[in-house]
Amino acid sequence: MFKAMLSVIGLFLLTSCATITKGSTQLITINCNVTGAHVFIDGVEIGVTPFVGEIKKNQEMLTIEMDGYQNYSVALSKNLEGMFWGNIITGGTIGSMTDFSSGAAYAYAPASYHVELIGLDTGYDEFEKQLKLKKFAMINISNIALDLSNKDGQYLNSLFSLAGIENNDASAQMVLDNLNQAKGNQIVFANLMCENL
Amino acid sequence: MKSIILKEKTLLLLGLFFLNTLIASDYHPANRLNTQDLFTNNYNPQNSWNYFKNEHAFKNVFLVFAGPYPTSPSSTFGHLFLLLEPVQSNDKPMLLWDSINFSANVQGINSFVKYYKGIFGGLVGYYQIMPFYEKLREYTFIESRPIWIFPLILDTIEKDLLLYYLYQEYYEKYNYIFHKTNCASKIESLINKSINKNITENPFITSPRLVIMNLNERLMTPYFIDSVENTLKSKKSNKIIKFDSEFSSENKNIPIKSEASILLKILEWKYFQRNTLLNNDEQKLLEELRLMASESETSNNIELVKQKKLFRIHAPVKYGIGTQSGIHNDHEIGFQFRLGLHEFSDNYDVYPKYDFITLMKVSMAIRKEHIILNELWLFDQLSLNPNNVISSYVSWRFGLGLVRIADGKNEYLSKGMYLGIGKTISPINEKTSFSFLINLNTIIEEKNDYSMYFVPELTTLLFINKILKMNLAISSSQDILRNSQIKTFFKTNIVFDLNSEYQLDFNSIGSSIGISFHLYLLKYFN
Repeated sequence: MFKAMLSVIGLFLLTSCATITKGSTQLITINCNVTGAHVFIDGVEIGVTPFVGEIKKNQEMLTIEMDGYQNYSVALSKNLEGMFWGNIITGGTIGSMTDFSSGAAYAYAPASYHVELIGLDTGYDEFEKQLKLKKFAMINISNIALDLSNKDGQYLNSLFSLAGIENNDASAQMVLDNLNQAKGNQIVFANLMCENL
Repeated sequence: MKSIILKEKTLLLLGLFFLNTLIASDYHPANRLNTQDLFTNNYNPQNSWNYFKNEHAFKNVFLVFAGPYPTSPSSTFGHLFLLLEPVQSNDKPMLLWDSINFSANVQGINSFVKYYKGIFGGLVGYYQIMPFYEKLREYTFIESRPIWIFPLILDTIEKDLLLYYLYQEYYEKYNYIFHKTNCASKIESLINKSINKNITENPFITSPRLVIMNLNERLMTPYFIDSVENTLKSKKSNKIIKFDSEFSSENKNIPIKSEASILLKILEWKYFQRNTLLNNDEQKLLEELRLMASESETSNNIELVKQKKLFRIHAPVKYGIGTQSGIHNDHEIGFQFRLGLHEFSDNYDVYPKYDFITLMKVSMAIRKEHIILNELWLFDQLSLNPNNVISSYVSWRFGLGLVRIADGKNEYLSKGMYLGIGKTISPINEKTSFSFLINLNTIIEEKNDYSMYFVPELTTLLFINKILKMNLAISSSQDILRNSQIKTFFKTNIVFDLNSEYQLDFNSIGSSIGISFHLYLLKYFN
């Protein structure tokens, strides 16, 4: 009787967990400011950027390498779904929020991550400025699009501020042009915002 | 002799268990992450205070409370951080203001270790300064938590001191403990030092609620920003329904321009909740909506800060006295005590309506000059998570406790584990929900016999207004190990808030063998 009871409990718990666990791998995309950078998981190369593929959830270290750039590594969690994805998905920069000295990574969409490598000859201030602008543009593109419709709003004004441009109709038009040129794609839009300054 | 050995073993085990806490409690500032290197490498250390002051000088400061988040133990009781309005705020919109956050670094740590270290010590806690939009996105968008922004009254000197003490502590790391050394305690300590207020640190618990109460005299009525989920629900529920049925990525209907902005918000929010990579169709639809939204004027932008809202958060402890009548007994005087985050009977200004967590609940009564135990819960969580048209989660229950049961002529204490799983829908509005849960209660009854009860249950929660709510339930119960006769139960719970401190709580349970009820006057322990 006791065994029967345990079986039923086990079955019940298994059913409960089935709604939470979605397998041992997850499909992700890793973009980078440098095309063709090497992507390593736990020291094993799995591809180059832009990378789209499945990775195991119990893996620990993501490293991006490219000649002429500092290597960038970030610790993943053993429990990717609960921790790593949970943390990174906020759009927050992984790792120390203030230390971008070797690069930075952040989530800009579900299971989509952007890694910004720092060139060996790039100044830190310049890198930090670009990173802040690009990250804001990539993460908040939809809110910026909504603000553009009214030519005003907190998100649009913040973008102006990060880009160091005046808050006026010409700036709004420039942002709108970038959005149209990017066809609404957040990565292209963020890059254009940095390039067209 | 045997008991002495057992005692020693137990002590040894306990010693090992807490050893980690002792080791982990020694964090030296020299070990402070890479930010230390960053500053020493890039800036002259002698000027670093000047750099910090110039970077983060502020004219106004706000204490921000993010609503409770039962999914995460460290945020179960809410989260506190500071928001600094810079001196040159005209050049820096609110989204870019500095948020001062204290949190634990849990990267690379699995759940078990995180919870263990969170309770006994060993997680590394440190300050972070990040733009407000990141915190806003984390709480209101990803985690569906509303936030309250309290203007904090400080004079010029106190503001300077706050920045200076922050600078001093910013480069250190701390032993983070969920209930003691946490976001609330560190932020409170910073403020107290700045206003020269000596507070003896609470050795047991510091919660955001307690900090807000302690600082009450320095806080003004807060601004309120609702979660994106709630904002979407309240704005366009009919559009959301339409969206679900017509504009999914599978069918290729293109929305009309005027609807693009709201559909964009809904779609983005839905995808983030799902947390899987977007397919090409979904990505294309989002991109198209962005272009359409940018071209049509809209009133669907979510306002950042406009409304002020009274902040009412109930205490975690509630007790009460009442009368109860059992199937076999006349009226008895009963007592009740409860410690927990939130339960159905509590007011819900701050806490989620459908997440109930009890850490301990005791209910007793006086019967024939004896005190008898009617109910004891060591833990009980019921998360209903209404499944409406834009959110869909599993409803579940996990409880450990005992309940007095009247069965025929007998009465006994039924001790055990209560598990349930099901779904909840809120088809009319967020104030009405219907849940169907399948419960499997493994309990020990009289004579230490195991029983397993299969209990399908249909529940309706009605939040009629701010002061009146009702819970109606019908369930059937069958011991599946003995294939016993099915019994049907009807439950009613009506709660009336007399004011912010007192409540009347009426509860009844009816079955084929009779009806029992209780009426309690409950009071929060502030």
